[in-house]
Amino acid sequence: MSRLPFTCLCLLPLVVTASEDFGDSWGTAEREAAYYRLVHVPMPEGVYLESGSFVSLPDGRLAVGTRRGEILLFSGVGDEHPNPKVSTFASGFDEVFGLAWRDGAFYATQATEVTRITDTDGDGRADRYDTVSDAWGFGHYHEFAFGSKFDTAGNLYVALGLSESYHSKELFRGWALQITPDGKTLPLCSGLRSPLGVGPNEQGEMFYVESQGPWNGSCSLKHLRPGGFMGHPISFNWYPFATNMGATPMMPDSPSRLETERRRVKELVPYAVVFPYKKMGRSISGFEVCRAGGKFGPFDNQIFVGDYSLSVVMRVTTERINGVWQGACYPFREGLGTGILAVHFTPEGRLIAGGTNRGWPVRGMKDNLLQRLDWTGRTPFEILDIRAQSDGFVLRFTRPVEAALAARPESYVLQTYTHIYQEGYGSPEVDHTHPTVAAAEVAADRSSVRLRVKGLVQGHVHDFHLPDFKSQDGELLLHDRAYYTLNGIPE
Amino acid sequence: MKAALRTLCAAALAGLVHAQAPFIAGLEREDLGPFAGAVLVSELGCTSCHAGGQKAFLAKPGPDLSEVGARANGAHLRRFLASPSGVKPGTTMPDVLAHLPEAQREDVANALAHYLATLGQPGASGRPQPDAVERGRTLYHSVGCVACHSPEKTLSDSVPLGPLAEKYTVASLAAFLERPLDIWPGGRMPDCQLERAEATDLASYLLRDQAAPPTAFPPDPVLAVRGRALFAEHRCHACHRTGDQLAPPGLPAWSTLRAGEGCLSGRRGAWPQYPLTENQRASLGAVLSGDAAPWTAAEEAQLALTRLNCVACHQRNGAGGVASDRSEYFTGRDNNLGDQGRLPPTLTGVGAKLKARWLHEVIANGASARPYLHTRMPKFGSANARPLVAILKALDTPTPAVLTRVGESSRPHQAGRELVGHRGFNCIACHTFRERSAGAIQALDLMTMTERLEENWFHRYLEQPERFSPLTIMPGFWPDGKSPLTQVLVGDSGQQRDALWQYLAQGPDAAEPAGLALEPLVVTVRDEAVIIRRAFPGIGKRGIGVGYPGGINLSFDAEQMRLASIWTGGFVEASGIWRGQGAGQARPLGQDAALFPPGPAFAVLAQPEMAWPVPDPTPRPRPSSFKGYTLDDRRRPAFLYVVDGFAVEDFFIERTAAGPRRLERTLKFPGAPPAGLHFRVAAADSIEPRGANEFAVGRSLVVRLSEPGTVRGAGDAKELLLLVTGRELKLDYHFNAKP
Repeated sequence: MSRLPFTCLCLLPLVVTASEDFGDSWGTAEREAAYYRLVHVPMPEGVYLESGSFVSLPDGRLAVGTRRGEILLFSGVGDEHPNPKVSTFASGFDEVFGLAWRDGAFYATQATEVTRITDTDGDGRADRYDTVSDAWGFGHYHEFAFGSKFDTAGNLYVALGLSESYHSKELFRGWALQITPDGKTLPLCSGLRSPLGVGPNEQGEMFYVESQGPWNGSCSLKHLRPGGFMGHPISFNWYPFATNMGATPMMPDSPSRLETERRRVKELVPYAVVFPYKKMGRSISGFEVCRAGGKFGPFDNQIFVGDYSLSVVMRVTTERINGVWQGACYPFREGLGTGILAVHFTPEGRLIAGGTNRGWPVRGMKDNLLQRLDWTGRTPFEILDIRAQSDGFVLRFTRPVEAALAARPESYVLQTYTHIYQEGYGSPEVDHTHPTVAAAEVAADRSSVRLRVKGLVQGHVHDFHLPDFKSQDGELLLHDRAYYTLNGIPE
Repeated sequence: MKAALRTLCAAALAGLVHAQAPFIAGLEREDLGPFAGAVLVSELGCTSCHAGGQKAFLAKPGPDLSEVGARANGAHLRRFLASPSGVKPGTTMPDVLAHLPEAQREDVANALAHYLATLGQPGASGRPQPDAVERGRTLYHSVGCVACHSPEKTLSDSVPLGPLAEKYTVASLAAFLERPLDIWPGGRMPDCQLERAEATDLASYLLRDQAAPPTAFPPDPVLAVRGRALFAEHRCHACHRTGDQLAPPGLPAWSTLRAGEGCLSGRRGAWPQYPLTENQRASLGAVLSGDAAPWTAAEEAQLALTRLNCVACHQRNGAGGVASDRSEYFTGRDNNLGDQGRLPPTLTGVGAKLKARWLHEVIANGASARPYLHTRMPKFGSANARPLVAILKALDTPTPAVLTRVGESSRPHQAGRELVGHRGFNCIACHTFRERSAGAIQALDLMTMTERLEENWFHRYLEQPERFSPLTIMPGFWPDGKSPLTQVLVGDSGQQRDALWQYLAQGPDAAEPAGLALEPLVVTVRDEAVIIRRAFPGIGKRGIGVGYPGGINLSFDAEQMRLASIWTGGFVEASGIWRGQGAGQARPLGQDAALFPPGPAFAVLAQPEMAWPVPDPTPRPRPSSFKGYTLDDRRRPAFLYVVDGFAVEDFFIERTAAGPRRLERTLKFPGAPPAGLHFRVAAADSIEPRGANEFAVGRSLVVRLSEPGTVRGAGDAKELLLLVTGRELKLDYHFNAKP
């Protein structure tokens, strides 16, 4: 206890500053619509859709894996005014939360297994379902399984939620598994809690999204470093079945800090990008990297991630510093109509978002809903990305900045905090600090600013607020906040 | 940490002050500054002797001694009276005999103990039983005892328990724990609502090291008479009731007292000796010399919450709350609710939140709307509740909400019901409704809302739950004040909140909201087979249901590789798996369900009489594996699986043309079967041969085999086995029309 760098005896007192009205929306939906239009994709009569995963086929059709266990094929989803035709390719699965396509076959991750699905007689409907891997236990409905698309080497990844959210009663609950091209299933990481999506980051490394809860102070995007421990130790019991993973890691202390425990528990992988609770979602979900080649605006090669509870889409950028992944998350678009479980870029460079509204509280209350975000062609004034430097950060912007404002250190309200790493559920933000922006150097092309900061705190979320910041043509930022998780300070 | 620091300071001052200063729970973990003195005045009982002062100085009554002889052992009382803080470090009981010469002190304590021993009859008691000790240990560490007292892993800033084993028997301690307010009417030891058996368990735990009950202490009548006189002489009755009517001690009134004199002088004299710390002495001195301005309502609230140590569990205005080193003992039964599901609620603004009557019920009688908390709200009794409720209600004035009343013509009850239901805000996804729940999360019952809450607060909370509890899992339903449900009451946020209130306020008359009982979702089968993978009765989660055209169905267990059931008629009702979180099973419709036994369907029996193997329930990689299925032109699956290295293709087809509906099953084996491989066709209470290779299984199922089967006993039941020798087996299942 006394080793912890905080002196607060009580867990409950929380000081909420007036500026943080995070119960409400970001308040930006109306302005966002000028840049990213929300398009309703009408559902044909007789189709009931609960999207769990998406993949585009080579012929341009969109395949949707659903919670009701179907693979539905949509034509015309990317049309300017969509009015899609839908056919059922396959059905009878148990909650499809991962859908990939390779060499004429679907690879669906359902709760029970990863299945290869093919249409051998060419009638447009699947007739062969081959189990690719079911090397995990499944004994409770809350043991969800999320699957990735293929990585460049042809591997698939499966992220397995805990039993009943809090236990690990069945084999490999709370683990991530790798399925190799030759069909072997290898334990990859332990310590998952409640994954809601798994896939590559912008550089092809595998990540998954985690929800706040025990050992997770807030939602986060985590790097699935092979052999790594993702933070929740209840699943340590399966190490004897994972000889490739080495010895069981030591037990982390609770309550503690991730930054403290990563020094003790060498397998513990720091959470790459932390999403502060409610400010940036509260059940972040499926994600995908934008490879739209400019068709979706200035955000190519960034990660887009949905949120189930708040029905929003956010952006993420990551970078590897001192061998560890970290990065920032940024608000992008709110006001979607259902709880988002998955997002996907169509070949036309449009972002499909879908999910469901049942079982858990959700802001977007509609069911049977598929929506699309289209870039209107206008570029919003946004923080494009934030990159860590040895003495601060570089902030890039989507449009040239107003140089005088950008050069003022006071234009950047910077605070840091972290979360309690503990067995209990979630955490308030703790250990707040207020670093000083010593200098703000605007690049000659006015597209970026180099911030020199005194008081960077390793292991903390660096919370940026730029309320008065303006573009060269006098426009305020569409979203004036961003959150950078500083796991390492570049040397 | 602060407490540790205090202990350190106390240790440093050990030469100057008594090391065993009175321990005031509410002051231990929170620095109350100038209020500390006022708390001390009441907790040390100053105004019991020195009448007057503010009403906020009202003395904590000492324990009622009318029945003390039944409760506490006389030998313990004698030791305690001779040196209260020596025997029970931290006690607020002063040493009233300190000024007497040592020999006389012992003598007086002895006489007093004999007198007290005449007050009540000790009952019989047994030793603590090991199983009771264990149950008591669990209770002690979960119902809230350790909010004030030390858990087994010692924490220093805890209310000391004293030498319980020399004072109590299991029975007498249990009686005290069951009704502590009878003894301590001041509520400093509140009533944790223990059942008799729980009180005995807890007492057993607290006395777990007691080798034998304290030796009986028969009172000497002569000493007792003297003790009764000494009791009055030493003014014990100022704090303690015994049943004797005695005049209050005529000591200088509160207003005439001065710091540094008498009890506060630090010297020995004919006054009670309080082993105060310098800090405590200074705090008391400050109160005495302070101006006579009455306390503000906020200060009174703080004083009351500190005295009753509400702050050990509840936070209010950023102060108090569960200490981090005690947090692990605050647990709940629903992890999904986060900290709100295990920590007692905040008291910030509680006067504006709760109706007076409910607030009184909570404080006086321990009423609680949170059945998921393991920590119990204790009873403090009406006498303690009444002033506290009055203070809190007067102090916490609500910020007025904008209330929009929905008129009768707009049918508020119907609108409210719609909003609560699963197509509205789906409140029932997380809240129970008349103790029934629609999902996995079971937060406060909706029916308690209007009974407990001020209407104004209900509106304010719903507007923005985070404003009241930043980490709540309850979302705001009107982001930016706008309703996402624009069809209900024209989307007006205020009207929607009022409709919710009016609907819930109907109490027992409120009609059940939609979604509480899952709406049925029937999956129908037409001219193609339909597959649903999920939990089916009798199968773990790896079930595969197949509905065949013509009204015959099966479920297959893809974990154990076996046919699990067959039924005729409708296929399944899927609300259990496709509504809410999907926590249930697919429910087979129709009739005639025949269940097949769990466990493997194929096994090698080295000797034919060997018992059928039972699956190993320990989680591990499975010995058999499911390989998938192919579909024929009517989408009937042919299951492919491997059992202990032996591959099987398993295909069913419905036969519905004539006679009863039948399922024809073909099992194909690409490889040669190992020696002794058996297939278990069925297991049931009765299996009777009916003809050539035909068997009646249970009440109505008939199975015909392509080759001879063997019926054998299996415990009380029977098994039908086939020795697998060829590359194919055919079976035919149907239901006997007239069982």
